[in-house]
Amino acid sequence: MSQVIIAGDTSGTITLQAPAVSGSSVLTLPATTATLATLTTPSFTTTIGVGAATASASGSGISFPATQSASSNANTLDDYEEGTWTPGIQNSCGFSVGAVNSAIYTKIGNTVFIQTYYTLTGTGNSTAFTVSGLPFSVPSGVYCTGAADIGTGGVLGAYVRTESTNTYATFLYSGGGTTGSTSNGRQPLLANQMGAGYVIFSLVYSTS
Amino acid sequence: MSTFTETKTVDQITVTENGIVLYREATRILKDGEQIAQTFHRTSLTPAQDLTGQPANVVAICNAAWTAEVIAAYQAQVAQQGV
Repeated sequence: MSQVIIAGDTSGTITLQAPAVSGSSVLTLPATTATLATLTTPSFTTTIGVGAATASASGSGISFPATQSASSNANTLDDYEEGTWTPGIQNSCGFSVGAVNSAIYTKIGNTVFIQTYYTLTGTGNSTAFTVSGLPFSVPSGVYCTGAADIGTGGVLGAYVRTESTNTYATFLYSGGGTTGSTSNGRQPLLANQMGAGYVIFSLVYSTS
Repeated sequence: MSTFTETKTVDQITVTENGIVLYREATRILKDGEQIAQTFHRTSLTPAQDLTGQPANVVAICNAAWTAEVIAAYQAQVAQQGV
């Protein structure tokens, strides 16, 4: 029969020890006048690792596993990650990416926030302008939009939209009509409607 | 005196159903061999994309995943999306 040894002293330290395991776990109560109820609202001054993650050695916060341990529970935050990514051009539109001033992402659960600012070199042709290299793929049937700032040229009201099951986003604008994307409805922003300036956009989209 | 070291490792590679390869490069700062900081950079590659400059292990996976059928199916999907 296994046993657990519980020992305490007058300083507020409680030691829990399983005899078959080397070492022990120590709980320290905040003050001799406090009660165990204090532990229901704990305060941590360092990082906490969840899901077997190694707690970060810097700052204070929650450290998630480097690889997501997905939860099917809708009330469980199961992933957090921030970093940079590589924007590219999806098709041969005459432009290539020049200087990447910023390309950052933050993933919280199944939602990705990206912000990008880069310059273009070359001369655009009549191909739709798209950005490739999104840091996470978009699920089937999901489309998300974001605001865009085209440095030179562009079309009033242009915006950026993700494509289903892919890692690129298309720049679009409203054609002002109601009869569909092939006539005067939503139109792709063509590369020759832009100058070789810069592109800034931010986008929030879903991933699986 | 402490010794600081920087390492770069591709620590995640994912291949989606339609052949897109996504990978993450982790840059780690070690102090006397113990990790004290880590940053991530993500890249995604679509079937038939130029692989110049990509890490060797990523190239190997792309070459394995991007069969002629996968490339054709992906290009058909993109064409259908109007890009």
